[in-house]
Amino acid sequence: MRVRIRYEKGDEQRFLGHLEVMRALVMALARAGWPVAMTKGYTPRPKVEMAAPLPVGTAGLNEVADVYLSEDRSIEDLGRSLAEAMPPGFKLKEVWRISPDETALERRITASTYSVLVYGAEHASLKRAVECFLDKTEARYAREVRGRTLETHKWPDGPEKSREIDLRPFVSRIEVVPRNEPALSAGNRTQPLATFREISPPVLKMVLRHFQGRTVRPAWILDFLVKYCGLEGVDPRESVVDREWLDWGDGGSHDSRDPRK
Amino acid sequence: MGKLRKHNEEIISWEELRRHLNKVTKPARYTGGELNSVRKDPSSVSVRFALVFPDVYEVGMSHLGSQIIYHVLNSRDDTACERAYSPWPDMEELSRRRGWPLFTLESRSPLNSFDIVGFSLAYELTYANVLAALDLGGVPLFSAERGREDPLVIAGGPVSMAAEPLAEFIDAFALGDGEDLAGEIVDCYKKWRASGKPRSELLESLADVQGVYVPSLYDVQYSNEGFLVEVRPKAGAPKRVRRRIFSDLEKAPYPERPVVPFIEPVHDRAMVEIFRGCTRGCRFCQAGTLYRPVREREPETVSRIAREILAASGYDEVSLVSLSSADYLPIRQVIEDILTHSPCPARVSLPSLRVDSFSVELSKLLGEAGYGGLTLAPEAGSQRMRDVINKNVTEEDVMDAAKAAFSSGFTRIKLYFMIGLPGETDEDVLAIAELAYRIRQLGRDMGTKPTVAVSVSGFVPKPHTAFQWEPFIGRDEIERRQSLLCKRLRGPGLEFRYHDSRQTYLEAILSRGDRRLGRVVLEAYRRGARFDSWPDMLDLDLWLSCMKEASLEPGFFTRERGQDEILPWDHLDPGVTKEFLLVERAKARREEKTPDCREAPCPGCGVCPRFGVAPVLTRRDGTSKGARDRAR
Repeated sequence: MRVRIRYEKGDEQRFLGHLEVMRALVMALARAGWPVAMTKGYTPRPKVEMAAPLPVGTAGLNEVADVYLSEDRSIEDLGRSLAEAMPPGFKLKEVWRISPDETALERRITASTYSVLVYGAEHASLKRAVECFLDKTEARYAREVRGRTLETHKWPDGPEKSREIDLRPFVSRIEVVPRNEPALSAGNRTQPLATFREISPPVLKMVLRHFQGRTVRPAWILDFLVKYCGLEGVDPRESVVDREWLDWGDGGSHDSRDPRK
Repeated sequence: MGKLRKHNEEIISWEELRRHLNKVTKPARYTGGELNSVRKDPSSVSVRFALVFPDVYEVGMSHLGSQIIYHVLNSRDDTACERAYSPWPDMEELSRRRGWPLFTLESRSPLNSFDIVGFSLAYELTYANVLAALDLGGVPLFSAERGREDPLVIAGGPVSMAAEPLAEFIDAFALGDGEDLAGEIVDCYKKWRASGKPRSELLESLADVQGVYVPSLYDVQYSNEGFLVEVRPKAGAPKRVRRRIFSDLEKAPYPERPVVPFIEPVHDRAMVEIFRGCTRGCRFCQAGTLYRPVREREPETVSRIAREILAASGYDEVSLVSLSSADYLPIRQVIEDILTHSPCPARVSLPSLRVDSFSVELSKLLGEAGYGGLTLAPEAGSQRMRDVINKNVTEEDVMDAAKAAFSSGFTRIKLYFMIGLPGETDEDVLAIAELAYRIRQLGRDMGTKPTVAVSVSGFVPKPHTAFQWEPFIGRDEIERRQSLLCKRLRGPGLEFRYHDSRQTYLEAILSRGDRRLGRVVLEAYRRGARFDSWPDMLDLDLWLSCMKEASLEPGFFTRERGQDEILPWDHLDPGVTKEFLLVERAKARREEKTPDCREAPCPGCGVCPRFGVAPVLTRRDGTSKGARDRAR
């Protein structure tokens, strides 16, 4: 039995990495008593497939994962037990059965919708930088980590390997919107420092494409805006990124679940 | 009287934190919110307790003692216990830049907003981190500088039994088992606060609690040569402070719903303590003294706790922890019980294997053979040295264990040894290599392709052991003996690893030190010493130059101590008598063994009669309470 779950990696647990989210899910499944199938091989692992890993720092409102079960259970029971077992900061939103031979999630995802709080930017200057970006036909970007360019990316219609990546084809939509706090249902858990004043930063919405499991990160786009589109006063590391929705193609069963529709 | 006003009731806002945390490595170390963590409304409790583990989160979350104290304190309605861990240097730097104090994970409150700050001391090389935590938390470093508004700063854990270098910074040490003691300290604090009396009264009343050592109530005098002349208690403090012992683990509270970290901890598994204490009497082992007598849990209790923890955590492995788990007679029964009745598929593991074929059988039962690795700790290479340290393991035991391992499908055997033991000669050191060769040969004869991985650490003569008077042989000598082995342990099927001799050296100084080292710890902290237990982080030259400036000679602390000398930890009573330790030392010199007190008559260490306790042992078939063998 193959089951797809839709869940939230909430605001408070945004700093977990992909493997930590996987670990949290696997442990929640164990607490829920799901008969999770194990992978074959020397070190069997629970058969759980996650799509489009979220980077450290990014929350996800509607993440999806597939779980393979060794025996059949009713969807209602599965949903109830897992909802109770989810760790703090996570929420189970939906569980449904899918065909065992459906294409792997990773391959089917076509786009991610992000909302990014851009600290340090003014609404107007961010808007100008976005317009500058949209005017470009190419946006070559080399990702830097601690001053070193690491990534060797493959990208569609480009040479097989490069230190750079063209961000432009990945961006399906990008726009500045008024801040819509609270961005996530988890919300703030404590009141702010009395002395701490925050001017509400502008929000950047973007829809980024996935090509055969490959995509780019909102922080890279923001970094590009800073480096090549004249965006000032912004440290891309300070942006707060939420992935709001994942699209998985063919106009499949997901459409009715999209809160935007 | 109402709650005291604290300096800083402000907490760090989530908005501020989440904006900046992406700049540090593993930011989830600082965000908490784990399963089974306890967040109480501060206004609903009367005492707020910050439990600080002075190492990084992943290490602290693997520490069973802290989980026990967290559980014990949060079980009280009047107390909220929150956790904090040492920030990694990048986080410390960010915190200083942003003006963030060290805060707890549960409510993001700074340490100085708490009533009590309690450190868990598991290792001497965390001393600089203790000072860093206090300083970052906004707590005055010196006990003498703290006023009525400041938190009470306490410390517990095994290192507290000889933590004189921290004497000026810690208001009170909690010695021994914390199950009852932690709550008694909270009660004492509450009573003092209600009384409105000055802080000195708090410390004096704490000294009346058995197991609490208040260092400021002891005047320490040194001779011109630096020897301890006198440790004089004042204000009615006891001459010697007795360690606390929780006499029956069956009645002990246990964290059956442990905090489950999101980040993978160093030991990523559920832990059930099957017994406390160890009867083997290895002469080098500090824990062997500090956790006496042996107190076992009933096998049913162990199985029940294992089931509950697995259900409450979702771990796929449960470790049956103790100082020597194969000594637990019903071990096989418990393992089988857990494997058949666990709520979800789970493995069982044992952290400490004995060197014999029975232990190998056990690990086969645990299904570890498939993974290829088995770890044994003969501790010394020659029989002579093993008799000196009272490690009751014969060459035959080692070879039997290896034979059983190879025939059960293990191909990799990891062996732990110490070098620098008292009376050790080069032949004894080389015997380590000889033993490794023999095991490799045995594996080859049995038709496997064996790997023998030898891991060697430098011996530090620890306080409260039979070897406490022995000298630390010195860093150069440790390195020379390492290189002796390094030359021999090359070749196919052999691996050689050894501990950083710089760490061993610093550990020897700090663990055997007196109060004068406090200034050195402070200066080392100020100059940037952090995470000295991490080989890459330790700057030994920094420590040595701090010692030089304080006019303290490292050799003074590593030297052999006279038997009539006052040792810096003599006023802390572990229960085991000095006379017994001296007898053991003499027997070590005669290469004479002392049998295990499980099987042989009582060797007279002194703990049971002096503290009114007794070993609590379960029989092999032991099921009912009546089978418990209490009266020895």
